[in-house]
Parts: sequence; C-alpha cells; structure tokens
Amino acid sequence: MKKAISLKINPTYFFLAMTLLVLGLNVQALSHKIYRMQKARQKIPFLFMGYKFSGLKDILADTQIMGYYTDKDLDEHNAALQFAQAQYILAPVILDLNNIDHEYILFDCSQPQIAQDKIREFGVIPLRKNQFDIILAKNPRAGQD
Amino acid sequence: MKILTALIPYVLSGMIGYLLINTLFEKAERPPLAVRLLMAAGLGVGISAVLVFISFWIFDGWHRWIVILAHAALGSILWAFWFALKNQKLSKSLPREATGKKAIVYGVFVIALLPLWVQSQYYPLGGWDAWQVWNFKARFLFLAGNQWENIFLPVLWRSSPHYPLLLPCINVWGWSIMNHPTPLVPQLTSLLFTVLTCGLLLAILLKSTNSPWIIIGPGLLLTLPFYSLQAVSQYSDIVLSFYFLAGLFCISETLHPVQASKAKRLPPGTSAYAVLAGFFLSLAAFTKPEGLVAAGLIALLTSILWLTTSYSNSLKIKLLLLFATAMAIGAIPSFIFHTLYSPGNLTFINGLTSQNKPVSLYRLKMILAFLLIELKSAKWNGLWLLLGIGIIFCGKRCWRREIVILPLFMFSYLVIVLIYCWINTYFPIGWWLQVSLNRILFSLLPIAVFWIFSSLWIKK
Repeated sequence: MKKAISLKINPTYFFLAMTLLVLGLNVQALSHKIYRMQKARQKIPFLFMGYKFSGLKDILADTQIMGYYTDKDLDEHNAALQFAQAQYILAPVILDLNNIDHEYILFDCSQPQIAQDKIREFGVIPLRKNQFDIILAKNPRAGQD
Repeated sequence: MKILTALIPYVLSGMIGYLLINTLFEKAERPPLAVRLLMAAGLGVGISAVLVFISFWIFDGWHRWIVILAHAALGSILWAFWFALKNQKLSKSLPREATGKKAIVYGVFVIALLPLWVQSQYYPLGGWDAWQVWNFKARFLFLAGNQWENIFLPVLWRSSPHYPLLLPCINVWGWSIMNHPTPLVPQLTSLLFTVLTCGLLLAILLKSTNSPWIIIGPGLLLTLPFYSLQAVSQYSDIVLSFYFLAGLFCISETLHPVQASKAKRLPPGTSAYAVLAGFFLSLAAFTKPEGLVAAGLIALLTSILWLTTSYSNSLKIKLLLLFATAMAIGAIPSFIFHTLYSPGNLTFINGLTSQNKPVSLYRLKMILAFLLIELKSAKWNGLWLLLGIGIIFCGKRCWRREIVILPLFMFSYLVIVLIYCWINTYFPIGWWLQVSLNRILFSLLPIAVFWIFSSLWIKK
C-alpha cells in the first residue's frame, strides 16, 4: 500500500514541465512584442537618422576625412545615435568630431541659429543646407598651414 | 529575387565548409548530416571572411573578382581532395537521420524561426552597435578602395578600431555578387547565424540525447523576446556564440571516456573534431576581442583535459598537435590584424596603476551585484533560474568528463570578463555593465542550454 502511494517524481519530467511553463511565458511575451512592434511601425515606419546626411556624395567624392561640428552632447543617446548613423551613411568619409580644420565641415546643431553663428565665427563658407538643417560648409583656410 | 542573389555568397561558403568537413572525416565516422550542414555553413562563411581579409592585406583593397576566384580555387581543391584522393561518391539516398521523428522535430524548428524573420523585418538596419561598429566597418571596407586602412585611425575610436574584422568581412563577401552595400546583407548574416546557432544546438542535442523533447531547448531561445532581438540586431555576439558552441561541441566529442583497452588509438572522428575545434576557436578569436580570450581559455582547458585522458602519450601529443595546427592556421588573420593593423585598445585605462581612475572595491561590488540583478532580470523570463534548477536536477550528470569543459569554460570566461571590467576603468561601470553584460550572457546561453539539456536527457 505504502509502495503504491509513494510517487517517484522523475526530475527530468519535472524540469520539462517547468521548461514548458517558461516556453509558454516566452511565446506570450513574444507575441505581445511582435504585435506592439507592428502597431508602432504602422504609425512610424522605420526611421534611420542617417538619411539626413545622404545626398552629399557628389561634393565629398575625393574626401577622406571631414569635420563634424555639433553643439549636442554626444553622451546623450539620440545625439550619439545620429552621429553614428551619419558616420555610417557617409562612409568611407571619416567624420572628425568638432575639428574645423578640415576642408569640409558638417554642421549639425540643436538650433539653426547656432549653426549660422558658428559658421560666421569660424569663417567658413556654407555650401549646402538640407531640410533637416544639416549644413555642409567649406573651410577656405584648410590645407594652407 | 534580391534575397536569392544576396544568398549566393553564403551558399558558396557553405559548400566550401561542407567539402572541408567531409574531407576531414572518414565516411564512417562523420557526424549526422544536420550537424555537418550547420557546422559547414558557419565554417564556410568564416573561411570566406578570412579570404576577404587576406585579400585586403595582399591586394590593398576590395577586389571582388580576386576573392571570388580564391573561393573557386579553394572549392576546387577541396572537391579534388574529397573525390579523387578519397575516391568517394555522393550518396543519392536520403540519410537515415533525415527521416521520421527527427524530420518532424526539424519541421517544428523551421516554424519556430518565423517570428525571428518577422522581427528582423522591423529592424532592417540592426541595433546601435551594428551601424556604429560592424556595419560601418563593412561599408567602409567595401567602398574605401585602397584607403581602407583609414578604418584604423584613432579618430574612429567610437567604432572600436581594435576590434577584429571577421563580421565586416563576412558582410563584404555577402555584397560581392550584388556589388552594392545593401543593408539586406548584414540582416541576412545575423539571421543566418541565429539559425545556425539554434539549429546546431538542436542538432547536437538530438545527437547526444535522441529525445524529440529536446526541441524545447532551442525553442526557449527563439521565443525569448530579448534573445531574438539581440540575435537579429546585427551585432557580432551571435557570430561569437555560434563559434563558441561549435568549438565546444567538437571538443566535447573528443572527450568521451574510452576503455583502457581501447585507449591505444583515438576513437573514430576524434582527430577531425580536434581540427574543427581549432578552426572554430580561431574564427571566434577573429570575431571580437572576447573571442580571442575565450579561444585561449578553451585551448588551455582542452589541453588539460586531453592530458588527463587515458590515451597513450603519443596519442595525446597527436591530438594536441592537430588542434594547435588548426588553431595556428586559423589564427593567421588574427595575427596579421593584431601585428600590422590594430591600433590597440584606445578605450583602456589600467585601474590597477592609474592615479586618476583607480579600481575600487565599490566597482567590484557593483559588478557582482549587477551580475545577480542581470541573471534574474525580467528580460530573461526566468531562463537563467530555470537552468540553475536544471543543474540541481542533473546532479553528477552535469559534470561528466565529456561536457565538463562547458561549465569550466563559462565560469572562467565570466570571471575573466568581469575582472577585465573591474580593471579597465575607462568607462563608467554602470554604463558598461548595462551595455555589455547581457551580450556576454547572450553569447553563453546556447552553451548553457546544451550543457543542461544534454545532461538531463542523456542517452541511457
């Protein structure tokens, strides 16, 4: 009698049951996540800030390195993200952060007025501005030293 | 159509890997077809990346026809070896393991991959580090012509110029047929390595347990939102994870206990597994700096385990020589990279000697506390806890000779990485732990699942 009621739990089956439980939780979490992503993407399709910097290839064709001036704090996530994406889209041109000694400089400032003030202050010539207020400027003194 | 064209380089790489694996193993000693195919794909893609890197070194830039010809030459040589030297014929019948119960398990696995594909569509350009480090480098290598060495300029410190170039070279190879740096290729690379990692996990679990329940192991990974997101984010961690798993599996296959009477010769396939392990680990070393540390650590642990086997001394030396030779051949690109190109780690401050940023007890406490917080974090859905319970249930089975290298490696690797985090005080520890620790655990997770599941469901 005692033998009959003593149920031996097989640890493998017990582990299997727990694993199935975690698997169920995973499936539920994953389906929620995919649903949320689908909704989010319906509102805003995939956004890649690097496209703000596209359309400069013709000017920068022979450029290996250029300046990138910003008044934004690159320790802040969005600013760092934008800089990384700019570097990605402009490759193989290298962006030298806040170095205005190069022939070409990109101005990516928090306010258009700040960019214009800095352009005047540095004495560089604006060449192109796009709808995202990114300004490409040329340094007339570059390479003269 | 675009996807099919983008897949051509991967298929060519896979064929090279398959030929190499089939050349290494005698026909009778080959692992199951699924294991061979999955290892072949990862090995082949790694070989392609090495060819790309060597071509940059020799020809000073990206010359796609040279690399395509190098693939054709290597493929022909391996083909000749396989057919002419071994005089073997392609089997026309379906291998036995591809039928019945296992076919259903692989069918379920393919269905489990669908959410992964859906997720990758939502992140076509990957995550933060993807464009900051890996995809940027790939694009740069592809477009820079003979200025490619600018990638190592210190001004690019944010992109970690000291990181090895395996993943960027894989993507450059992926663009070779399309001849255009489309974002589709890095997306496919991350998907491919996720499928290979989880697929290999399933195949080696099936090999060691023969239980269809084992599908739950890779299923746990593929359904975990954090895991699948990391996997498709186009980071190198999924690549590293594959090479770790493949390398450790090969080593575990060389460590099966043998009777003293049979210890006079190596069991079938052992030499081939030792060579493959050397290749996989050297590819891991060329993936990320952590991979180099891990490869060295695994080599050390493996040597100790081999030296304590019941084999004769000459067999031990043979095994070590095969492994070391394969590692040395595979380490050639790493050697070239570190001696000729790498600018060194620009984000390292030795806290043990630094006056400005010294190591502190607080930093150490924070690391240990963060590890515990990370392991029980909601993003893992209790998976690490589950695996911890699995260790208790496994008992002695977890510490069998053939798999003891798995826990030894994971524990030592984690300790080394955390000590490095403690000593290198360049970055604030909170930020670093938040960014890096989950990726380290991510790369170890398939190994942990292999360890626990193969121990619990071991063939009786």
